[in-house]
Amino acid sequence: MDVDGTVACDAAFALTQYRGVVRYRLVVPPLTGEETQARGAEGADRAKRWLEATCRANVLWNNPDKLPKKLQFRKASAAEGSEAKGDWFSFDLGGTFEGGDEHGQQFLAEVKMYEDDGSSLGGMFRDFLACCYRVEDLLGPTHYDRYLWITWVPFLGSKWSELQTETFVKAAIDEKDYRSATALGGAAYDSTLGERVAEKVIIVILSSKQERFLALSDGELPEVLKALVDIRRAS
Amino acid sequence: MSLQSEILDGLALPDWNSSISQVKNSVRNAIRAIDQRVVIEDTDYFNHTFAPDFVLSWPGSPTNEARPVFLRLKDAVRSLVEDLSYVGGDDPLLLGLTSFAAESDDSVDRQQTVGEGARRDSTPRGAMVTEPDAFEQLAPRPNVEFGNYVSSALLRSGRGIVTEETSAELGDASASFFAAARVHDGSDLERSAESLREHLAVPEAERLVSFGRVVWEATGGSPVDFPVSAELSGRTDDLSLQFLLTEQIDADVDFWRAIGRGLRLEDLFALGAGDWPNVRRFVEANADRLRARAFKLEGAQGALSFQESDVGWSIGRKQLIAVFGSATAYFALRKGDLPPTKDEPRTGLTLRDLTARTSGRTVGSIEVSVGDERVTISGNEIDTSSSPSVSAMLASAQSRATEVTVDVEQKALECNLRERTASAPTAGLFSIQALLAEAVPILVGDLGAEIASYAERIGSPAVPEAPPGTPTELSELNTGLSGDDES
Repeated sequence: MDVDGTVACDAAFALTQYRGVVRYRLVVPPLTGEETQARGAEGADRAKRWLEATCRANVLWNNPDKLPKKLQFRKASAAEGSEAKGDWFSFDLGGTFEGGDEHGQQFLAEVKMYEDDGSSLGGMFRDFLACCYRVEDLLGPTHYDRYLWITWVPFLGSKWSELQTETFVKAAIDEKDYRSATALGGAAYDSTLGERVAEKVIIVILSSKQERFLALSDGELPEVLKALVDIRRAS
Repeated sequence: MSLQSEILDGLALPDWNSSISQVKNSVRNAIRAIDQRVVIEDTDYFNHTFAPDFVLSWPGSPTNEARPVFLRLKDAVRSLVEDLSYVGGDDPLLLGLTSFAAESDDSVDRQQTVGEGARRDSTPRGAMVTEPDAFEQLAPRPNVEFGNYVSSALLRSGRGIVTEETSAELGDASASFFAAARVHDGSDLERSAESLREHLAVPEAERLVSFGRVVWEATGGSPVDFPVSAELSGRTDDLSLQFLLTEQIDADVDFWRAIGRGLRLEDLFALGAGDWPNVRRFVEANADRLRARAFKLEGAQGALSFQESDVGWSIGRKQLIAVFGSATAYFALRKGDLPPTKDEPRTGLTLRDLTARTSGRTVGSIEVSVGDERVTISGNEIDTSSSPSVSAMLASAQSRATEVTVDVEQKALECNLRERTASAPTAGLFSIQALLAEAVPILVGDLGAEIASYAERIGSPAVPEAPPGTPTELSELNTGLSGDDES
């Protein structure tokens, strides 16, 4: 055949010829905006379900697009009162803990559902840290007690032990101008805030099998929840 | 302000607790607008995957149903329906807190399929998935007769995906169903019934059709012309009766008599105690059919006078209760179900007074007491010449008649003159009308004249007289009575 170069076909197989050898290479087209959004919604749904199946969390808020001012925060670099979309960031979920010493504590959560590849998660996690820093700066130490990062794919394995340190938080913010704009907006970095963020972050790596095999069944959960209400009230 | 606007305002509040509180309050008000009788339990959960936000129940409902309501911060119908698999099989109601998102064209078929799936839930009634504008429209429309009935039915057991358009169609169907039943328009009724049946669980749909048939027949329609078949009998069922007794209904005596066909006192007791607005109209229209075994009159002191417009009927725990000014009458199925006596104990009647009260009636027996002595005189012993000791007793100034048995509706009615009660000594039942018309004058004499007169005006015409040849009347007794004591 005389094909030279790569031709993308409808079946997503690319036919190439290199030095006379014909090869087939699978070309995966990127997700459309709608697909990304749908996947994001699915991830948030599954994370919400898993958190509530632990009986230790009530995920009160999801779907940030429908919740103005609830899971959305203005970036540090944005003008006061700006409502421009680019001046805001949002978390995927928000809720409270149930039971134990953490009862009533509030958390925000970011959910990333990328089944195939965790290579982009490192950058996204750093973005998340910058957002958490901004929230801590905006609302103080007592408003949100935890920031949950929930994903299905391990990431930054070589730096795993550093991910929840103040040093990593600072490096994440300093690394990119846009993160600095989100978190600092020109103000100096405050290591106290960075330490608070590091301490408050919880990293959760889920798996489909974990969701399926290591959570109470849907039929059992309502009964367990009812019993827990009585137990917790009594305590 | 629309429900959706209220919810959005609530969601916009930055404080989490205030936001949840306002949103749930708005939804609670919307539920109440659909059915005022529903009891709403707030579970303190919000938007939880597994725990409902509210649990609805209907006390007194014969089916003891309860319906969990889940609020959802989702607008994709597909996602809402998928949530049904996590909330269990209790026929939940899922209310999205924002309008349904517009689906892309190529997902329409899937949405319809998903909608079918929602209707074919494994539970008998099925789940309902809806959104604020649609939910709000389930409330009864003003000036639509029996509109509350369908609204309540949809809240209890509505199913499927209910959009704003669907909700409007259901409202139209509700209005036309009963309007058609009233004017006996078979084709319109059939069309409306089909629309309503599609979104109601089977038992509820059957109940609705049965109720429609009751209205059809009550307004003069021929039973054989009723176009829709129903599993339930033509007799008014408990939920329909509950509705009829509480709702604003423009209906005449014939309607209430038609409704009352086949209904018994125990059917009223099954509804539970309550001061229900239409009990009086129902009872008065069916006073000759509703039957009790025991009766009591309390509080009739001095000159008893009352305005007929003020007569009040209500359903007690095990009694039907009528209030006539200061006097209260109780009707029960067993003597033991009558309330304890509150009035001062009485000594009984002189035989002269008893004669006056039983004049013209057939007397079966009398119990007479003198001090600690008691004697029961049957009809055969009323001729005093056959028993000197009895004659002497009867002649005593202290003798008092404490019980008398008279013939009412061709059955023996035992009247206790001290307790002011009347009951059947055997298994007999007496109409409400007869107990008021016949027993009250015996128990309280002239004091009960207005009550007896009222009784003559309700129900159907007077009870047939006792056949001739039955035991002699008390007036034949010659005792030389003294004293004016009366109980």
